[in-house]
Parts: sequence; structure tokens; C-alpha cells
Amino acid sequence: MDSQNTTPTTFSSHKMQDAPTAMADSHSVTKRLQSELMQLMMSNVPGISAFPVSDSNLCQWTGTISGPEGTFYEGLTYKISMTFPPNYPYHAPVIRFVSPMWHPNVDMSGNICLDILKEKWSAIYNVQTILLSLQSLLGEPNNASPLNAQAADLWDGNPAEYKRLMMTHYKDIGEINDE
Amino acid sequence: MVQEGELPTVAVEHDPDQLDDLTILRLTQEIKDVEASKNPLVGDFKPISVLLDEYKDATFRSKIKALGGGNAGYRPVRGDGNCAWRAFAFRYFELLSKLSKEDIEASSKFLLSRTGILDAAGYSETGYIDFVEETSNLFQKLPDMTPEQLVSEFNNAEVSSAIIVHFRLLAAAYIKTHADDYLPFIDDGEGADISEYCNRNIEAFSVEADHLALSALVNSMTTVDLGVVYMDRSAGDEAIVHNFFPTESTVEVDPPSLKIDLLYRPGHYDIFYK
Repeated sequence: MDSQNTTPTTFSSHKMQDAPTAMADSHSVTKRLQSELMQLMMSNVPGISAFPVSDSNLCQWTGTISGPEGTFYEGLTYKISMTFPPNYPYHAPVIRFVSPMWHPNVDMSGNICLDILKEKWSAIYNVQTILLSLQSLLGEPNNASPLNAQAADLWDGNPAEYKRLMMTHYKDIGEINDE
Repeated sequence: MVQEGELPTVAVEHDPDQLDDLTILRLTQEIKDVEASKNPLVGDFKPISVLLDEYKDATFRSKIKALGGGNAGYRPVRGDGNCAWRAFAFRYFELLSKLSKEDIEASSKFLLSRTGILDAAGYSETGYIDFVEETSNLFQKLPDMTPEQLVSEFNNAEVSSAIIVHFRLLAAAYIKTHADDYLPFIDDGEGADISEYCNRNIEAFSVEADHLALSALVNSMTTVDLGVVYMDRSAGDEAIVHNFFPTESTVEVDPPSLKIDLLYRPGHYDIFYK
């Protein structure tokens, strides 16, 4: 990780582990997440996937997103973590990139600035709409309010340099899983 | 368990640098639970005179007195950004609960038939079905419920949140299917986007209802007249009442019409009883 770009943040751990104090999940969030898992498996949308980390805790998922064709991220695959609150879907899950992600709207800890995960969150969104929104964010960043200003500047200013710097941060998903 | 009046001791138990997402969510929830124990989602009826204890301001006091004594009162609703929606939905079911089983069934049938405008507005069934089902469940239980049970049902966040989402979607769908009527009010001079407006102001959970949202909700339901009593600092000895009437009336079935009154104080809605 590039230390000079580290943002001040309280989130430092990317490890996917079962928290020792697993949240008591309510009946309806469990039911909802099970049905979302079913829908996701049945619809089988290419380029995105997500599933619970373990059978014992349905509120912690891991997912993958492939970069859309024709973007800097084409051919690359990124791992994300999804943590669902007990009052999901009335409140948004916490989503972050576990893979190092160099993008205008993602900070060095993997935190994502995306309106539908914040003030525009609605209970009609689901895992699939989140994954698809994240996938389109890769090709269509919001450069007006960047977390990574350098990436935002280079996006239009110097595409070749953007691609080069982005690739220096990229880690193959196989390496991530081994961490 | 966190005792009432005591905040979770975040700083002592957890090093902020070591918090994972799950712990953060759990701690956030504990803080909310403490708040919730102080203010139920839907509270008990209070006589209007209780409000006099809250205000020293002469304008407020004269307006409160003008609301009347006797049976006038209000029911506080938690100020969590959903208050207008929750107040409206609770009062809707409370009024229906006093009607005959046949009238409840007719109202249920009619409201559920309005799901058609969700389809017309482009919402997918898998997206809205869970919320509409919760409304449908409550309709079925309603004829046998006591007033206390209805209050308790609405204090179950899973139930009332689902119903709020259903009602929010009805309002948003009405705006989307009547875009020409609403566009002039949404346009801020920089080009308006109906879909963006609905997403940001109506579909988004915990965003307060604005004037357009209430108008759209009343229009989407077609069987409810809404009166909002504005208890603010504006001049006058009596609170101004703003009425919302549905522009389309119901024809094909005949559910009873209802009149809902809300009490608005800047930034917050409670249920008003005349």
C-alpha cells in the first residue's frame, strides 16, 4: 500500500474474519439476506458475485466485481466486503474494497463514496443493485467530490498515467485471498 | 444490555483503530436503542394541554389554546426522519380499525390494487413485494386488534418500517407517473430530474416528507384527506391548517374515505386528534 496517500481514517483492518461478538441478527434480516442470496445465484449476472463469509453469520458477505469493458479496469477483478446492519434493508450495508483500489471515489482504506450507500440509500436496493452500481462507478467516477484527488485529476488529464498508477496498486484476487 | 440514561462505553471497551465494520454497526445500534427506549416510534395519546408545558412563547401558547380543549390531543411520533410517514400510516390504520370488517377488507383490496402504479412507475415486484406484504398482513390482523395491539405493532420497527417503505413507494410512483404535474415544483432552474428527486427525497429511508411528498402520498392513496396543522411562529392567534385532497377520486371500488390530521412543528410531525 502506498503510505504517502494514506487517509486519516479509523478503519485499518481489512481482514475478513468472523467477529467474536456476532451481531444478533433479527429474523427478518436473515430471511431477506437468504432470499437475496437465492436471487443473486439464480440471476447469475456476469462480472459480479457475492455470498456470505460463513454459514453462522449471514450479515457478513464477501463479493467480487469485474471492471467493465472499455474502462481502465477492464480485465481486473476486485474483492469487496459487505457488512449488513440488523436493520437492513432500512439502513445501508457498509461496503468497502478489500483489494487495493485506486479510484477517485475510493480511499486508501477501501472506503467508498457512493451516494446510494449514503444519503440516497433506499430499502428497495439490494446486493445486486449495489454491486452493479459499484461496477458502473469504476467506469463513471464522480470526479467532482473525490476521495483520491490524484486519481480524479488524472482520469481526464492523463489517462496513460492513470492506468500506470492504478496498475501499480492492483493486486490479483488470488493474492488477496491468501492474506 | 445498556441501561437507560447510560451511553455505551465505546471509548473504554474499544480502541477506535481496531473497530471492524460489524462492531461499529453494533455500537451504533446500541446508541440508537438507548434513544429508542426514551422515545417510542409511536407514543401514547396526550391531551393538547400537555403541549402548553413545552412552550413559553405567547404565539405558540395562543395557537395551542386555539386548537381546543376537550378531546383534542396528539400522539407523539419519534423524530427519526420518518415521522410524517409513520404518523400518517399509523393514523390510517387506527381510523380503519374502528370500521367494520367489510370496510377494512374493501380498503385493503383497494390499497393493494394501487400496487399497479408501482409497476407503472417501473419498480420491480421483487423490489417492493416484501413491503407491500407487510401492509397486507396488518390489514388481515386489523379487525381483531385492540388499540393497544396496533400501537405495539407500529412500535415493531420491522413492521412499521416496511409499511413506511410501501407508502413512500406509492408516493414516489405517483410522482413518476404524473411527472408533468410535479415537474414545475421540482425544477430548481438547473433542470429537474423526477427520478433523482424521488430517489433523494422520497425513496430514501429516513428523509423527512416535504410538501410534495405529502401531496403525492394523498394522491396515490386517493381515499384520504390530509390536514396539517402548522404550529410555528408565524403571525396569528390560530395555527394555519394546510389541507391536501386527492385530485383523483376512487370509482371502481368504494372504500370509505378517511381524514387524517397531523400536527406540524418546525422539522417534526405528530398525529393530531380533534
